[in-house]
Amino acid sequence: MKFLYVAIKGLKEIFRDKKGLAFLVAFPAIFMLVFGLAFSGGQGENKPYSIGVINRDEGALISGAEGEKQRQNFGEELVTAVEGLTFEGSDVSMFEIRSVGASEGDQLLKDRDIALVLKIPTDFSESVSQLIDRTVRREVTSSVGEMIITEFNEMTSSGNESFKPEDFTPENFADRNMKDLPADRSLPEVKDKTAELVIKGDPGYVAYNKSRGILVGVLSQFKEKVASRARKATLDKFGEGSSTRAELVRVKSESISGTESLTTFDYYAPGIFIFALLMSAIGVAGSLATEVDKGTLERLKLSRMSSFDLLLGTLIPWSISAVFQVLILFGVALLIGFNWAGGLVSLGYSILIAAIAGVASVALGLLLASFTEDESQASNLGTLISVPLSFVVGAFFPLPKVPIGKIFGRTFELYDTLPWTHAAEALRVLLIYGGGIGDVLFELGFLVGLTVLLFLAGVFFFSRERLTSVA
Amino acid sequence: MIKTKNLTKKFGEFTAVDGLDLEIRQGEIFGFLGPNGAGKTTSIRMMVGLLSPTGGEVRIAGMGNSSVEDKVGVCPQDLVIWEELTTYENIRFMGNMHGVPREKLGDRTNELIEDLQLEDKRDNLASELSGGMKRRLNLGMSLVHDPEIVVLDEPSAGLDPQTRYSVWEYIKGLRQGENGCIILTTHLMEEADRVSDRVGIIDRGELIVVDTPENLKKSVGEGDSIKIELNDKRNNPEAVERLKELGEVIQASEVGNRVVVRALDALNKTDNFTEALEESGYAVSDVSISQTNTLEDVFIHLTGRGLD
Repeated sequence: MKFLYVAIKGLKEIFRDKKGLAFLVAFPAIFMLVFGLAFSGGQGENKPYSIGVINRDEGALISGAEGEKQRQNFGEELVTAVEGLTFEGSDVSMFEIRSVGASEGDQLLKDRDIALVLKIPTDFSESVSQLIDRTVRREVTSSVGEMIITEFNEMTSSGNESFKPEDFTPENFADRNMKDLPADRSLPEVKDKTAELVIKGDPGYVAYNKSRGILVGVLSQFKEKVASRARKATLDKFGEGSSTRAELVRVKSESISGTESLTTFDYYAPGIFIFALLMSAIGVAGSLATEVDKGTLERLKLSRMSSFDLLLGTLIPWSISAVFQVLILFGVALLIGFNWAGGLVSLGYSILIAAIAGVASVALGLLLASFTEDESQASNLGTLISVPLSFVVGAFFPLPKVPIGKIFGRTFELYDTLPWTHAAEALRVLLIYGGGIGDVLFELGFLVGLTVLLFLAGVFFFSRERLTSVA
Repeated sequence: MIKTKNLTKKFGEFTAVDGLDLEIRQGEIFGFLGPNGAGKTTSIRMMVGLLSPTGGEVRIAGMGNSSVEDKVGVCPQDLVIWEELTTYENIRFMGNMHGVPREKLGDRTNELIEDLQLEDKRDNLASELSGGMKRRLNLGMSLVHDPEIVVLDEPSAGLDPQTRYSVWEYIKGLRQGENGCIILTTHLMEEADRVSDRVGIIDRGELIVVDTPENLKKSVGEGDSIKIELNDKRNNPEAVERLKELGEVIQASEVGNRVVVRALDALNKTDNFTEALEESGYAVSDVSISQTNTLEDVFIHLTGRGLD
């Protein structure tokens, strides 16, 4: 029963120590908040990309349906097309367009206020008009050729013996088939003209890469649409229908099941729980090192308290604190948009996982306290170990493959030897994908096994170094 | 009650306690007197089992010292308290750790709080207590299980004179008739003199003498003690030699920053001594005379050095 008194004392100390409590809860909560604000706008959230446009297009003269010339600005048409893009199944625009000057655009890029700058050159319309002319010329020559071949075949196969091939001239062919065409039946001259569109931005910025990918697709579609429109106009003259697609650009993305609405932050959040639990190892080590440094452990050694009482009595309050930590962090995560799946049952299992990971952190704290003399040393060594460890166990980003063997048919990576790796994975399965306990049995089994081993190591070293009389 | 035989502790080449043979009797208050670093704390840490001796043995009530938790209460020299617990919680927690029955623990805790004059701070966090209050709390935590053997390591260090006297009275009140004993380590000769039944003087790891304070003071012999301070302390060794030449001096030595002279009828001879020093060019800045022997005089007599 003495372990209960030690546990109650520990709980009082943890919750009365304002600075320590702030470190345990506020630090990871702030971390969560920062990550949440930075990464909650992921692929699941339809949020327009802000882009800058410098439209210097001077327009070009294009032949109208009746052969008349009219000025058209394809740069403006392109901007309007980009502006009109929406996410699939949503009326949210893909892009929010700001008309900018060159230097203003550069500054906005540096400040990451915009994802990219699209520069439309002065000769953009000229170039598009050449594209139209080339298309028209190709369509006309192709259509006329087809018509000649068709009519010639009909005449030769109809049994009309009066037909003489030498009478089949362009003039009488035109008289028969092109009465309705405009007077000017000349084909447009095609020049070799290429306009250069520039997409400027920071390749290290995620939003740049995403919006650039979409824009490249949009430009390709725009080119196709212009050509298609010219084709349609030409073919209409020859009485054929158009195959032009009605929609300019169609963007479609598919997600793996269960992740349709996930953001990058959703991946990070369970990792931050693990980060916080690893931070509590510093608290445990600091608290035990203080007991050593201040002599209170020596005082306890002179009482009837056993090693079991001390270690179990230390384990209980820190595990309770771990659960509170995770609940508070979970609340913070929900407030800033964490997409929680699986309901209360998965939350319950997550708390169980967190409590076990908390025990692993206590074990780490015991190990740290075994080899440090005071709170300051324990804090320094604890930080030196816990922070890198949170990266090693994959709290923040997926780890590279380092296979060391296969267990139960699953590849066992080097970092799978650490209990927190399994805790992080299990929390993701439970909280993000809404998995049940059956989905995390492998992780849970290894988490428990490795935690027991680590705890035994902690008990062994702490007992040997701190609980026997000094030699 | 406690017996040590050839108890020795070495830290590398340094011998902290050298062959301590000591018997502390039932019912007595035993004072371990010696300067800082003499080996007092090391000796008692070995006695209660917190430190493994390099050699020798300890017997408590005829047994080894491996499981004496219920019998011994140790009040450490440093303040060993939990700052985030209240006065009441600190004492009660130690009672729980010592296995004091629940039905007795509440009364025992309150009794200690009252005896140590901490009632006003009963529910205050230990971190909010003054230094003197913390020291009293430190003492109370050692006594909650009513131990037979009470070990007090420098119990009045850092206390103001008034609190110190009340703590001494409290310690004397802890004596449980013929049962148990109290071991006190101190470098304050007044504390050892006023509180102890017997005093063991320890210096550089060796127990020099054990006897009652009265017998120890008598052992110094006749004469008064004159303490002379010179303007220039660097002249102390030459001044000691000059005084020894005078022939009226029983003993002269440099103790701390002073020259201490033992002589008969010191009151009438002091002027001769100071004049002799002035004539030799050693300017005297202060002189004090003690006509009754103290334990410090005993220590000086035995070691030629002071307790500071």
